[in-house]
Order: sequence, then structure tokens, then C-alpha cells
Amino acid sequence: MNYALDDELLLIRGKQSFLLVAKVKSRFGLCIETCEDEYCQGVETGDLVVVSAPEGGAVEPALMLIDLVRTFHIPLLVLPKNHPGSRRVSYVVSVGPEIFTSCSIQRGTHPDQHLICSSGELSGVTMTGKNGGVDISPMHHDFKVQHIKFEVKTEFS
Amino acid sequence: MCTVGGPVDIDIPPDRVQGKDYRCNECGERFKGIGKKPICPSCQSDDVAMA
Repeated sequence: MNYALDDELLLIRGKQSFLLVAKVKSRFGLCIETCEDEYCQGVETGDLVVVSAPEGGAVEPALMLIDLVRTFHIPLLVLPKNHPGSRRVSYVVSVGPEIFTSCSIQRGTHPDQHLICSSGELSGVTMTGKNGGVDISPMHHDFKVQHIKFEVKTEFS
Repeated sequence: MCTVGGPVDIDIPPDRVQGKDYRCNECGERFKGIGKKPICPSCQSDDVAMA
């Protein structure tokens, strides 16, 4: 199913977890930092930034995380396998033209950007930036989909 | 179904992600690029060549 998506974000809710999807607004070089090396991924306008919250929780941190990446181009950090901090990572992010959810990877440890850790209920979903929007497949009837508008306003006084 | 925070069910070897070495023709930055259209992380130029 294709969902129109412009500047707003798409929230896909399961019963206990969610995915938040946004389109990249302009091309940039995304740095991915691992323990061993730094990689730079070319990201194009219309590619997707996806945040997964496998245990659910507040949506606002996911909104901020998406903005940190797609607006401020903050590098992604990849934890080494079996890192003790992995269990405390409650929001994970992936960037690319097509992203596939999996519940079979350890969160925060996977540098391949086409994969993102999810809960079991949202596992096996493919999200593709297409036709000015995003294709979600398969779209189960018990997923709840909402559009979200989000804007950061800063006032200095 | 996986258990959240539990053991890893699929072990993907770290050498699966292999960046290619690039050099930016505009600023001279050397970096490992992944994906089809590498972009220089320093100056955001796509005028890059494999090093």
C-alpha cells in the first residue's frame, strides 16, 4: 500500500511497538561509525529515514531522532555485537531507499542500512520510498497508520 | 518471534559491510563509501573517485 508522504511523518503502530517513517528532504553524506571504521553512505532526496521502537514508548524521541538524522545529518553509531548497552537502546534508526524490518537482529549492532530491528509484530515489513510517498508491504489490518506533523521551534530570549 | 534484548538469532558477519575507498576530487578527503552514490562526508560533494 502506498502512502503519500511529504514533509510529515508516517507512524505505523502495532499493539506494543511502532515504526516512524520520514522522507529525506535533501541529499547528504550519512556517516556510520563502527568500532573499527567509518563508512559514508550517499543518501538521496526521497530515501527513507525509519525509526523503530521495538518496545514502544513515547513517539517524541523518535520524532527527534528522525530530525537529528534527516535535518542535522548526525552520524549513526553502531554498537559491537554483544555490547551490554544494546539492551538499553530503545530506539534504532536506518536510512536508505528501501528498509526491511527484522526481529532477528540485535538492536543497534547492525551497520547494514537496509535492515532495522523491530518487534515481532512489525517484523517482515518492507518500506520503500516510491511515487512521492512510501510503499508499505505487507500492511496488516491491525496496524494503525497515522500522519504526524512535527516542527522544531526555537526561541532565544 | 524474537525476544526483545535477547540472543541474536541471525549472526551476520561484520565483513558483510565492505566500504570502498574513495577520494573526494574537491576537498581531497579520503573515506570509505557504501551505497550506489557515495557522497563526501566533509564537503558533501559527489565528485568522488575510487582511490
